[in-house]
Amino acid sequence: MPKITISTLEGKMKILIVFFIAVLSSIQVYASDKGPGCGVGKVVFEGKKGLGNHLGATSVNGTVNYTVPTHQSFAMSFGVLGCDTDQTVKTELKQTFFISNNVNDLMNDISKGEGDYLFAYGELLGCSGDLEYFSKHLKVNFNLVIQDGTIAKNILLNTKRVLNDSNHLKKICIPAA
Amino acid sequence: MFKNLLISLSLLLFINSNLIASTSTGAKNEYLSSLKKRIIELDLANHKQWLKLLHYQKFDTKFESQIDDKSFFISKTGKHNPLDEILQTVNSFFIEKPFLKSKSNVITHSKCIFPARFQWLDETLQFKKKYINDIKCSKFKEWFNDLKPESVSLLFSTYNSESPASMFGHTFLNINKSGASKFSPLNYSISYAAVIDSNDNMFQYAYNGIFGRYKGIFTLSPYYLKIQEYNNYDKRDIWIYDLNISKDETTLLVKHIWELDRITIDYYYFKENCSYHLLSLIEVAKPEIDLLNNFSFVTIPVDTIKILNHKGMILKERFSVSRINKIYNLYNALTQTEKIVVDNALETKGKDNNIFNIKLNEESKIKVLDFLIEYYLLDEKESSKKLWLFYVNYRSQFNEKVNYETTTPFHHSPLNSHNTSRFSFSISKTKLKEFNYKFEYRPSLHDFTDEPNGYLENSKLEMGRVSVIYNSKLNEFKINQFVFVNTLLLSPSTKFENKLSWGGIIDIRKDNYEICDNCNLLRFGGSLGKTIKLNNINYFMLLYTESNLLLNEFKLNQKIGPQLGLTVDFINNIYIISNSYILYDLNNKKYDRILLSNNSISFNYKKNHSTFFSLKYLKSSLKTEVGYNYFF
Repeated sequence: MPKITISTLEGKMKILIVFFIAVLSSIQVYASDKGPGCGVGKVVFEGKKGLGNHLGATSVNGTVNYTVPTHQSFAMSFGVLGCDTDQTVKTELKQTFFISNNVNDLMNDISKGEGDYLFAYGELLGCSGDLEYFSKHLKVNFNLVIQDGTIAKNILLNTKRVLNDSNHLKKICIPAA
Repeated sequence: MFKNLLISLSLLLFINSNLIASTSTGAKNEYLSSLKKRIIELDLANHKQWLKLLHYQKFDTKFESQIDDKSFFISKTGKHNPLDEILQTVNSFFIEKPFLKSKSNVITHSKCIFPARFQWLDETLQFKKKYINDIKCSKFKEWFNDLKPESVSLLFSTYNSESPASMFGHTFLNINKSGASKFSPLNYSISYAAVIDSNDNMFQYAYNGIFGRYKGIFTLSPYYLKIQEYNNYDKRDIWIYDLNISKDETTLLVKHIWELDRITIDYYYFKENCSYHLLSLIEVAKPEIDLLNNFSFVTIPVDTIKILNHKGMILKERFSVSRINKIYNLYNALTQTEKIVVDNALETKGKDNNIFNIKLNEESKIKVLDFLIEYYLLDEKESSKKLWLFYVNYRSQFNEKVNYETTTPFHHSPLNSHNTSRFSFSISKTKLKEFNYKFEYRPSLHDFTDEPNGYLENSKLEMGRVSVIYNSKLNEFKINQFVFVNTLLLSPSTKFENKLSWGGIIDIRKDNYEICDNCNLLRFGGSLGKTIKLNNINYFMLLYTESNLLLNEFKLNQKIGPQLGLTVDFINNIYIISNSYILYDLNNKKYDRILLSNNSISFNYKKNHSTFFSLKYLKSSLKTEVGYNYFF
């Protein structure tokens, strides 16, 4: 039997610690589903900790911020929250969720009057009929859109006001009016 | 519960349909019998489409489905019996009332739970609709319409030196919406991941991950969450591969994804991981193509892309740049004057709002602002947010359009990277003028002297490397080293990023330092420090420490000291690393000092082939080595 002194015990602790780190880093190699916290995106899920669990899924590292099981496309995951019957509420939640998770990129796109996020936003607001006009109109009214800060609900409300100011968009943006 | 319900209900159906004979059920039963006959005649149970829809793998003559969740099968013996499963499935479609409990706890009809099976069997057998309940499957339809599937892309999220989790990359699928751009953030992404109990400790992570104790599930999320996660938060570029999958095939794939909702599969970290099971989805869309068979022990994400390419499945390669690399692109596109303005803005942190008073034309102002509105999104500090708001407001006041490329990839496509496995042969000569012949196999992944295209620059990541030395005098082979993991990431700090360099090693090897005579050492080592890049040469300076466990005597030896060196990778096809240590023996009261230096140069004369020369200095003895690497 080897004689175990205090110093080798300490050494073993060190080994264990290094081993912990090594194993941790290697095991996480494939298990890549770390959550970004989604920035402002938490707004929609605020106060609903464990939602992911409720929907039947947790992401790899145990955070539950947005992983949804396969059956829960957007409309449906909000359906689970009790908005199942009300299509308008669903659409609005979808829009709010989009804004809150992409607010920075969306505002950058609006300031330029073009970009994937802006076009996607236009689509969510039912303005697919004339995305170019929609984009220009939002750019011109950038200040109005962002006047109440970057909270998703305010941006959505202000966007709708701005869209209502345009006779052309009022006609083509179906659910927004 | 679900299983029991399912079995008893299908039994009930059997009894029902056989015993209660009215004219209509009689005709229906006759029809069902004729269908079953046809299934057997056509051998549909062995049809590739059926086998792939049920994820069957063949072992000798036996079948086994890779799905481990019993609720995925209608037949009790479904996991191993494709014939019984197909008969029971067809049977279930003709049951009048909704009778199955879906995973979301709704009693529904089997054709609403298994729409892909239904579609294929209906297309193949042309079901007589009058015998089938015309239930609407409204939940499924709502979900399906939300996805509006048109085509499929495979996405590869590349490596990031700061996150060990990213070192092999990660893959997921995008379902592209019809009528929308393939870049649309509104497309949906499908991932396969393990469900991990956050209370588990690291040993449990390792054990459960390697031995399939975790359950994997498929998850669905909007693509924009993936962009935020990988491109923006993790600072990883994404390569996008549009797959040669038609709209009809995509429809079947998406319907199959619905069938897999909350279905669990045992997750094996090395083989049946995120990338592996995406291939099983692609096989459902393209049953005639075998993809999974190419992987027997380990599935490395980049290899799955190469297989798809090899099978002609890739139509187009696209790229989604990470925020950090977009910032570099934007900066590189600036003129000298514009750069000065940007540098000034960054230095004064917005306190000096007069930066634009100097004479810049409109186009230049736009370019400067485009840079700043991205730059201040890099972190989540309150001060950065304020500056971002200020500049983005300012940006909205300019109307002129400036066209310049901001999405250029920084690295080569992973498709052009060297293969992930490597075999090496080398001859070395020691001070005793003895020749040693070394054979080495490395299943993964990359080293400094390997061609860096498509890998994380200035990095090393090896797992499972084993080297065997042949001694001609003694005429014997000996295992010299086995590396569990060896990694060193030397990312230089840049103008916009302050990066740490780090490394770690766990291996078993024959003694190198003469700690003991011809014994085996288990080593745990780690290093941490900085790398700077000057004139294309990377200089690194780290603090290194290692603990060696003498396996024969169960004794411990510890060393610590600086690790210094440089890497050169700008000369075409030639890569150099010089890596030296000055190590102090902590167990020896005299603090014996050991000087150790490894220097290698490689010439990558052809893709997947290289030759190398290395010089090792240890305790005043010099060892030279020359060898050849083959990547496969």
